[in-house]
Amino acid sequence: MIKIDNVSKVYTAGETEFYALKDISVTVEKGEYVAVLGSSGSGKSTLMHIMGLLDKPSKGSVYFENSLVTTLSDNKLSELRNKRIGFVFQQFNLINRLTVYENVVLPYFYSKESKFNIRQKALKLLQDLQIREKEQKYPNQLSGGQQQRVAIARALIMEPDYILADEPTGNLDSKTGKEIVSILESLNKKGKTLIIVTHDRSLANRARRKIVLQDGRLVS
Amino acid sequence: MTDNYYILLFKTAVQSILRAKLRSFLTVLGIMIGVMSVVLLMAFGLGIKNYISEQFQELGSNILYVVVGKIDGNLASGSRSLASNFRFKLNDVLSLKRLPEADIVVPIYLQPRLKIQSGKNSFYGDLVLSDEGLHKAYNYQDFVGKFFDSSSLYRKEKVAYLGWNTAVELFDNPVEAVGKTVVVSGVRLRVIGVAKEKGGGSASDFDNNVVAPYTAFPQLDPENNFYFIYLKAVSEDRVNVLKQRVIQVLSRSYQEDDFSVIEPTEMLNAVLNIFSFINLGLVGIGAISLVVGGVGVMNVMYMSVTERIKEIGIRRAIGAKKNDILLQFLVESIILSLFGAVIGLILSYIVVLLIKPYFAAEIDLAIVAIAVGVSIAIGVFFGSAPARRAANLEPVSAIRYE
Repeated sequence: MIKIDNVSKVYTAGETEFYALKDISVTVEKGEYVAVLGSSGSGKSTLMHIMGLLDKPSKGSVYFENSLVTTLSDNKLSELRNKRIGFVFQQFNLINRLTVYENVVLPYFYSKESKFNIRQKALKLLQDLQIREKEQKYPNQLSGGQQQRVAIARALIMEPDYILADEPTGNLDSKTGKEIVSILESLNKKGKTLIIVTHDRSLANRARRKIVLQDGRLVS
Repeated sequence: MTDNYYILLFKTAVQSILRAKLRSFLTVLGIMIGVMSVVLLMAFGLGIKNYISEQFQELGSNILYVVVGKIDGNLASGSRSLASNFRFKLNDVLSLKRLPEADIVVPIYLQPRLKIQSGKNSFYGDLVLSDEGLHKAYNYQDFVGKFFDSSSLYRKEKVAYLGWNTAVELFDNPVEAVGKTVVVSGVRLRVIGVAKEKGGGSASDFDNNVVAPYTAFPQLDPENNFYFIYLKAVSEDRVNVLKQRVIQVLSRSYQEDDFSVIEPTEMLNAVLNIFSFINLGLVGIGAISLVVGGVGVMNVMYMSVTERIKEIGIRRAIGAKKNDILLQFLVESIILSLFGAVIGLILSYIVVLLIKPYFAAEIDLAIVAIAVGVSIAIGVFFGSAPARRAANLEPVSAIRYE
């Protein structure tokens, strides 16, 4: 479960304050499929970053699996992101100087673990996502859809419980976008909590629950 | 396929360096020049030290020198010794010859840079007056002829044994020197032998000598004016005892400040200490260029961090800790410095090889280790600030960076 309790995020520029989020309280239960819907500037990405422990709120509390995380150390938050959360971004956010394989296994290297055979696991993931033959390619040698599949493989390598996808189809054509959404939804069917941030109402309607933001506030 | 984190770290660092080849080359150049300065200065220093040590070793072991004046192990006191009016007498030499611990006792009278003539040829060499023991003491090897013996000394024969350079300068072909006459300080000497070329020496350059029995020059009164006495102990373990006995014998007739008994190793250490001090100073000056190189590394690393802010954000998002980012950039900084050090070492080695016929500079393992160690330290020191900046970036700000 991820619980956001009365959270605000304020950016200050001189004497001007800008509220990216204002008094938001949201709970996402384990195994849920939730869409965060809003137009550009509504605060949806900010909400995702806070839920994904990438950012801290200016006010309020964040709970991850019933533990208060807003006071955790940077290292502990990194560890949680590494092992419990998988991110999928609109711009794929792959590291261009690393091969597909290296991008996928990078979270495993940061975990400093040796609990599973990483090569086997990575290749299986690439196989399941139908890009096994691309393992030695570099991201700039792949299509958008292929890059997003690599990003999904990277998000899954540590077997996280939560998948947070920020506009995962934003840089893809509609056909490819549907394929990606289908992959993400299949992960939810396997028990992973799926949170998709989107401005696309039709995509949001596929989720079991919608969180709607407008100007940093919760509308529904 | 990379399955090891540290190999991936190394690979990423090298790729990053190679991505901006010109920039990396200019940075490496700074370190390379710095390393070359330091390594070559150390190599020259080592070569000179080895050369000095070899010269002293040529003098032999178990050796003692009894010299005029007080020398306490530092080179400055050498000039005080030279200025002293005190000289040894033949009786002192004869007393020391009676010591059971002494194998060889040789008195030496020296007049440097005297005009030596033979026919129309002349040469400025050193006149050395001594006894028959000098041949063994100075380890002369005969090129032609022989050294004078005790009967020459007893009969006050006016004979001469020439150093190699002296013979070449006066006779072109040293073989022709034997039987010929040389004139030194108005005294005509018959040449009876020529030494093989020695190549350098200590107080007197052996190759420029004219050696004669001290009885051949009564007008110079060498028997009352020996400048130093050469002694060789019967064995290495008797050197200290011999030293004490010599001091005992001479102290009966002279004051403590009138003479010094020195082992060549003491002289060598004094010379090497002074030289090391000077060399260290020069190396320190050379190291300034390393600091400049290090600043170049820092500059490039700051640029590298700025270019990769988004990448840092992505890495942090997928679970990299601050120390992972710090390590990544420190490794890059160290590789950059090491690269410069390796090239600097290779070029230094080439320079040393090229000048080998003219100067015996030397690069040993210690110098290589110092060069590598210093370059790693430069990489860490100058790379740490940019690496910390990268590590302290807020993940969400970094990931949004365009």
